[in-house]
Amino acid sequence: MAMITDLLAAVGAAAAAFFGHLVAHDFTEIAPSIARALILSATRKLPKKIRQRYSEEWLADLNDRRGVLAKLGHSFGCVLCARRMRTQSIRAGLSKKKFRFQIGGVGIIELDFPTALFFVGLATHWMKSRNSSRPVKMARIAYGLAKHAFIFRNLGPIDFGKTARLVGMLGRIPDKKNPQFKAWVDGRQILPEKQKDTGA
Amino acid sequence: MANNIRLSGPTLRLLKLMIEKPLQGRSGAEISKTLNIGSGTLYPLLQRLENAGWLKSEWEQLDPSEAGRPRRRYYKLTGEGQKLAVQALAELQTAPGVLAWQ
Repeated sequence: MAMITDLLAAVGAAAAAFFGHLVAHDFTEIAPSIARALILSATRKLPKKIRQRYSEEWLADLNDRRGVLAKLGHSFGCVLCARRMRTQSIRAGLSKKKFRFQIGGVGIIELDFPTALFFVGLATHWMKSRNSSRPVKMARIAYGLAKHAFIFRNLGPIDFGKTARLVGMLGRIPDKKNPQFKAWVDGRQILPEKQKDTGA
Repeated sequence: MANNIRLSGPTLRLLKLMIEKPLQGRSGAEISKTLNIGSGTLYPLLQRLENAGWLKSEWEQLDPSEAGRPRRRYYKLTGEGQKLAVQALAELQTAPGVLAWQ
């Protein structure tokens, strides 16, 4: 009985070694393709203007790595850092960008992004305190600025889909003073149901 | 902008490596292998230093179809980057025989 058990164990071990070898061999064959696909998917997270550059650079560096584990390690590293690099790239672009405002009596002034956003917020607050309908327009401007350029220092870029949904949710709160302005989503005015019906 | 760089351990190691031979361009793979820094840490670091003007990068002068491999991107210290790196490393250098945490 013991001999049969030993024999079966030996056959099992041999079969496991054989199939393990096959799997390992296949994995070694396809690992570079997996690494390449991972890098290409990582570069899709980057802004368009730097996508081509990093795609080429990371693939060249992948070519210089020796061994399956090194290649996979490199590609996983690229996947992990892509989002952070996107944030850094947008932030660097913003720090160089100037927003121009025309103010009556003062002329055209140029402000960097945080200052511009601060003044738009301040103006919105001031107009809101005067019960003016302009806050909606100002909020639209602020949202437009945010859509193209906004970024939180530590939270990374805003998910604009979520922001739009949030603006939509806020817009459902009835505004007695300005019922015609329900919400602005992606720069598009969403009219109340009644007005939609009348329009149709 | 140029001074606004967080000098973490990997940043200092990278600056130290780059300052050894400032005129020699180094690819990301080479830096990663030499310093034993993973890609996930290295590329954001290179990007940050490049955006701040400490590093500059350029493509390898090579025809990929002739060489049979993709061209590499080489990183070098800029003139300003060299000065700032020397300054940053000098500030952190302790006198011989003095413990760094004293």
